[in-house]
Amino acid sequence: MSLMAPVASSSISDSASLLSDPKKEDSYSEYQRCANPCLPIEKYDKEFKIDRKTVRYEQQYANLYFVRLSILKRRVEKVAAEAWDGIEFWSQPAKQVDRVLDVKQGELSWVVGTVYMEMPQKPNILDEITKEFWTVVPISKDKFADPEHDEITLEDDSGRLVLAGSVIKNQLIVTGCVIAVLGAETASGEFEVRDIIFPGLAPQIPRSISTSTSKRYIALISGLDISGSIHQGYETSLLIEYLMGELGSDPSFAHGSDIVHAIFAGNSLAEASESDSDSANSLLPSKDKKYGYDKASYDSKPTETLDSILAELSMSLSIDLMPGDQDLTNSSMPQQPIHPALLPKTRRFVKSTFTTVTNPYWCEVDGARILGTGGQAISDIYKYVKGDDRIEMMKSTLLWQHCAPTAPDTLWSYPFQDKDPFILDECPHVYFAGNQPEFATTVMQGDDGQRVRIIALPKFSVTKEIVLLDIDTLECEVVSFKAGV
Amino acid sequence: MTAASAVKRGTPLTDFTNIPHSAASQSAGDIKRVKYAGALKQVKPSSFEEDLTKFEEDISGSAESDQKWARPSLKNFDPKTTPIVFQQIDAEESMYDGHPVVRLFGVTEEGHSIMCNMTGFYHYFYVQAPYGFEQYHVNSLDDYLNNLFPGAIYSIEIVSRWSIMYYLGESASAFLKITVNDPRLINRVRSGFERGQVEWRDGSVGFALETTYDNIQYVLRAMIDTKLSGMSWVTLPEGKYSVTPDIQKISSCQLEVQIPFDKIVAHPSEGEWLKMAPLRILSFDIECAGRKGIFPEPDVDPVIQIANVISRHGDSKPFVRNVFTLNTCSPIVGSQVIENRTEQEMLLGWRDFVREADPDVIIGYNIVNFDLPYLLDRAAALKVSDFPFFGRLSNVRQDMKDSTFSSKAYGTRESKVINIDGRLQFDMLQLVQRDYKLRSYTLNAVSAHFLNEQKEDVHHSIITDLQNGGAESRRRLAVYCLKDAYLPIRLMEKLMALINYTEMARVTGVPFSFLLTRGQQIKVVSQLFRKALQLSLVVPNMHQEGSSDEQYEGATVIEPVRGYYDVPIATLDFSSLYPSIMMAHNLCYTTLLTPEYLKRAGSGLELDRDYERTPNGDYFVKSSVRKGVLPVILEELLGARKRAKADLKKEADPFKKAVLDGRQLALKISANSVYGFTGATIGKLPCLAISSSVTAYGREMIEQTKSFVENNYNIEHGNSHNAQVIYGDTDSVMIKFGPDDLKECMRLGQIAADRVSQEFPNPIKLEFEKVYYPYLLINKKRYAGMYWTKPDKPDKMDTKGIETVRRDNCRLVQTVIETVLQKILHDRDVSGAQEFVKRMISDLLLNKIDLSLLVITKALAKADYAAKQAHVELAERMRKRDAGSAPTLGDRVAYVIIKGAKNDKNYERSEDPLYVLENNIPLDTKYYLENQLANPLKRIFEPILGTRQTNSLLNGSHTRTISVAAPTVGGLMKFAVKTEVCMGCRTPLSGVYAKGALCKNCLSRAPELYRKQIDNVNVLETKFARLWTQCQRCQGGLHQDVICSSKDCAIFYMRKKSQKDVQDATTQLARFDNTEW
Repeated sequence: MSLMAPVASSSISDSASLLSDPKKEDSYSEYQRCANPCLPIEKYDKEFKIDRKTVRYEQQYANLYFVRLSILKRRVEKVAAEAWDGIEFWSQPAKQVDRVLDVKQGELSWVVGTVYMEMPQKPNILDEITKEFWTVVPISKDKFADPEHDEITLEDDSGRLVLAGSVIKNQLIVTGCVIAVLGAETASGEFEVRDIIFPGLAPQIPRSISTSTSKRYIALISGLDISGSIHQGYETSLLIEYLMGELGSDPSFAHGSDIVHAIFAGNSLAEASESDSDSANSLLPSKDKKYGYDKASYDSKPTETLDSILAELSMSLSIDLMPGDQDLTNSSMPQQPIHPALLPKTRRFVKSTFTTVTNPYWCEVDGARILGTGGQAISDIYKYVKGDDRIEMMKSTLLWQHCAPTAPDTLWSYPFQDKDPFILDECPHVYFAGNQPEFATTVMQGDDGQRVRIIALPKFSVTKEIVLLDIDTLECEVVSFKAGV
Repeated sequence: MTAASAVKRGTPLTDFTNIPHSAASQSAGDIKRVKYAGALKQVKPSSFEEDLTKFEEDISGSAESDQKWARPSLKNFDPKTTPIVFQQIDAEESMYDGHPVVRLFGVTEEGHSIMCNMTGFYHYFYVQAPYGFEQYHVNSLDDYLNNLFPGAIYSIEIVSRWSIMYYLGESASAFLKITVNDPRLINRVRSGFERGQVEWRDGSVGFALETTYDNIQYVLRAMIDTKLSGMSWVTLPEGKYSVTPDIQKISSCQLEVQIPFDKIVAHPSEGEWLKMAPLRILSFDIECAGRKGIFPEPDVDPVIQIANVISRHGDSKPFVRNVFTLNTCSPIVGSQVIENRTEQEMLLGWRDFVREADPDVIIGYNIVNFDLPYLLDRAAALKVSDFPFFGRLSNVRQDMKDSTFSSKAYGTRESKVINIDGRLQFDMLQLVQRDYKLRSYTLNAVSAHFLNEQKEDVHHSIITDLQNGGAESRRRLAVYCLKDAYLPIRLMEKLMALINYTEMARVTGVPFSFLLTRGQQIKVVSQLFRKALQLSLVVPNMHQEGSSDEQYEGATVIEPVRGYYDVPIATLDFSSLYPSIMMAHNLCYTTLLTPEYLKRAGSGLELDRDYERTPNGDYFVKSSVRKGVLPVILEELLGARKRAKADLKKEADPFKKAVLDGRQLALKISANSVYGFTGATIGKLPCLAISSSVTAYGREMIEQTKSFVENNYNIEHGNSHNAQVIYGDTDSVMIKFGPDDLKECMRLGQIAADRVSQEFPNPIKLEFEKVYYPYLLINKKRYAGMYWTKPDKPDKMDTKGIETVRRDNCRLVQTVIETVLQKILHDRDVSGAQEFVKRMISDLLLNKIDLSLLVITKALAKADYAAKQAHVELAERMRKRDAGSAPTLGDRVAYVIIKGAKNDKNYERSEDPLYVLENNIPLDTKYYLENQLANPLKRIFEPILGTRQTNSLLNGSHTRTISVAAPTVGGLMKFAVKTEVCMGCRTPLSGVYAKGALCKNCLSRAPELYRKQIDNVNVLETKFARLWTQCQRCQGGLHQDVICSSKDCAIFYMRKKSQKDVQDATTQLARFDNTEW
């Protein structure tokens, strides 16, 4: 096996005490490489955290939509008013109509509202439970989109308007985003759309130019899918060694030792086995023959394995652990931090190198503000649209100023009363989504000088790839771990 | 391996893309160019402009007919040269110029409304002419009668007719056709004869008999004599009719004409005359603002909205959609909102709307018993005396009468009758109740059933709140109201109700309106009289005697050999059994021989050559002597049906197909009702000799078929097995031929059917229709099986008499029974079915069954029930709890049975499901097992498993685990101190662990126990999210809270429960945060 990475070895001042007494976690804060450079942005952390002691489920989802519309409406109105100022057709100026229902037949006008897509292919719980017991509940469909039958509507608290025309039909759009549309209502009561305006990129907090001379990277990893199976271990151990700085000495690529921070962006654990997920998803009476909780069915291996890995890494690296849809936390958005109780070994590093965070997650490193998600929102958008361009979908969410528009309609979410934490008040410098089918990245630029590095993170368990983000340049590169060569 | 080989370098990516704010489409750029160019002409028209132009044309083009109330205006024409062709939809009796007329209402093909007075037709009846009555007696009788009934007699005529009753030889008798001046007088004259009041005598000639003939109402008489049938087309030839000038018109129809009845050309409904005029169908719905806890009363509670949808028959979209509202209301896309300041204004506005839009058919849901009476009563309460004038006769006010409609087939129903002259009323509720057996008849349940669409259901107690809110909330209400107005039209289209009823009217000849308001008999009467007229027969006016209890022996049932058959069971059916018996044996009023006539010397008839004896002991002449009227009617009906079915196969146009299908169905139903007519002892013309003979023949034929099959298909005759008839009922026999090969059994069935058919006279035909395989024969009229008509795959699962639709069953029963049958019959997995039952029973006893499956509903019909009933008691208790939300009369009460004290009666243990959810009240799961599930399950499993095993299915070890939810209300619970227990070992927690999740010993199991809890939370969170977003989708709005209270909806209780469950589970989960690690 290779040597310890030079930086790591040289900077551990008192390795003996570290290994012997894990209670003395404070020693890590002095550890120069690992002085956690990446900190959660408190404001957003508060937004996403739900206090389980005071949660209320008496309310419905209407408030969430209402808040979303009232905030984003103001923003999109501003952009639209500017863009469409003075537009006229046959001396009929395009007027703004305040509410969807005030649209008048045959008058060129524009209006703001929330998009709702009526899609017959959406999974329908009513169908599932009213259908006879014997029919197998259909496996969740890959896509809902069915251009023949789908109906795009624009809604506000006054009512709903059906949007028509190729402009809207060809637009990447999903339920829940707030848009402005220009057009006119036809005799059939549909609104023929001529142009669409999104809120656009939110303002970006300028980043001070970094002065660091050495390369510094953040490792972005998603979809470890740890199942505890022994067959899985090889690439994962390579990854761990790499992150620990124990791998390789070829100067031509980024050193593991240059990595100052790692973010595990969801699905560190594999999906629960067949039988478990069956009972978890089924709304019908359980099919288990055993009644009540069955202790024997609990498989402790995946969490134990993850715990060991994280504990090991935490010794030399600062780590953020974000949950994904397969992880052991609530599945609805926003996902709450994975409970430390599940990770008895790693638990000791909490408050020092190990942070268990929400999904979505905002953090800041050296002035660069990063928005990361476990990728559910993007995967859900995928179901609404024709293609599979994840970057395009991610760009759209930035333009919509909303990182999870399909919540709560098809992406389950907590019924917030007086806020919509998924609204983007600012434009991040880096925006990544975990658990995507393959790596992709781009830089998006806004009219007001915004520059966002967008990254679709591949699933490690499938691609054996992780992404390194250069903290200074915000460029990224992919590192691949392939076995068997 | 080297580490280097495992790590590849990726390429940094730096593609910069410029993204403007707008998701700029090409056309957006075009717009800007227009602006900058300053003048439109300088710019080459972009595709957007072209689009917009088209778009504006679209708007102006279709707007012409959209939301335009009035009918197309009538062009001037010359009555001397232009014939009028129209479809008549309604006929009524009236007077014109002092003479009786039949007033026909109808619509021309161009969509013009017309009222046509058919003049000159006088009502008449027959009496038998006294012996020796001659032409010279006529004047004397005329004088006498006109003296006795002043001014009544129009004419007296001696005619030669046969009575329809009995075969009494060939010679006709002399009858007097007595025609009256005014149809309203006919009953007085008729009863004068019947009561022996007519004592006219001229020498030796006088009336002795007290029977009169041909008692039928004037309108029907006129239609029969002019060969008009309901909903048929007529032509008023040019020059034969006169047009009433506008100022003299009494109707609001565009055309008002007079024509002598013998000049009108009635088109038989066939060929091109099967078409339909563009009838205007108005569907409407009203909303009333009731007070809390009281069903709206018209004396007090205002009508606040009336929504209307009008569509033209055959159009895909309604062309009028509007809603009249009291107070302001925000606009609704695609619909007109007509705001009114006062109720008076609204009512009159609606009346004017109806008059202008001039609908031919008014439909709705429960309009006859709710909406229309409410409007009339409300107008009366508000003293809007001008309101009830929206019929087609401008000066005839709409009045309401109570009527009780009683029919053997449909039961007794109380109903209102409102005259809206010239417009048909077609209440979809009445129709659905008549023609379909459902669990629930709410509009919601019915549209869920037929249109597969859930409708938001707003409880009437919320309506007032919405009305008292702003223009927005009233708009919300208006949207429901519009939907409720639109659904009946869609239901009507889906059920093809108008088409089917139209064809029924055409086939039987009665006016459309009779079909919903009258029983089955009138349809046969109409056909019988039509035939009688052709054949110069007269129908005696029978006095309704005898009681309805008088019974004759019914159809035979071959005792079922109960069991589960895992071999194909062939089913042979006599097609149209009773009609074909009547035809084959020439059974009719006109062919019935009286014993007296037979005894009389010189009848010259010989048994079996000229007449036959039925198994019931009656005698009928053969068709060689005289062909019966009923067999002729039946032949025509079935012949017409055959033609309609043949045409149906050829027809490609879906609309014409629908008409033809409706027609063949109407013909079939009509043919089958003829037999019933002869057996209806309190009917118009009962003749038990006919009906008893029919059933006797039927029984004989079934027996004969059974012995034929069993004697010919046995090992003795070279077959592999002995065939056995395991069951037979009315017109079918079920045969177990023996082989387990489906194809072979089908072949045998086909041959057997052909061979048996040859044993019987024409047109009796035994048909091989289907094979059941496997087949579960539970009892008489109770069976289930997979239904095969082709050997490659089964058509469907067929069940008879396994009633799961009964509403006093909870949905669990239906679901379990259906699944069990599916498993046994479709999957052939009896042990799987048993497993399923065990699991369901266990889940039930463990409280794992969703509450909505256990809810039982009943309508709160009358305030005073003699016997105590669960739902009535509950409604009373709920009223005490909160009068506002308690069910009121007419509401459906939903309840579940809860655990109670040992001696509590069931009705004392009913409880509101919502209350149960909120307070964790334990359900009496044993009740559901024993009173709901056990019997239907026993019935199914006993033939398969036997009694012992079936009992173990219901009482086995799986029934021994029971958990009971702890109630959070009542008695001692107030004093209980809640102590948390460890989630791992259930030890009560104390000390530093008191607020946490685990005790000290279980801390090491934290990951496992946490996971268990989080899994639970996830299931519930998902459920919560899916249920509530589903409701948002259903209500069609994201920005407003869901207020639907449809208890029929499968997720109504589930969603309520999910709120509580997820909250509880999350709170439990939070305990981990308090745990001292």
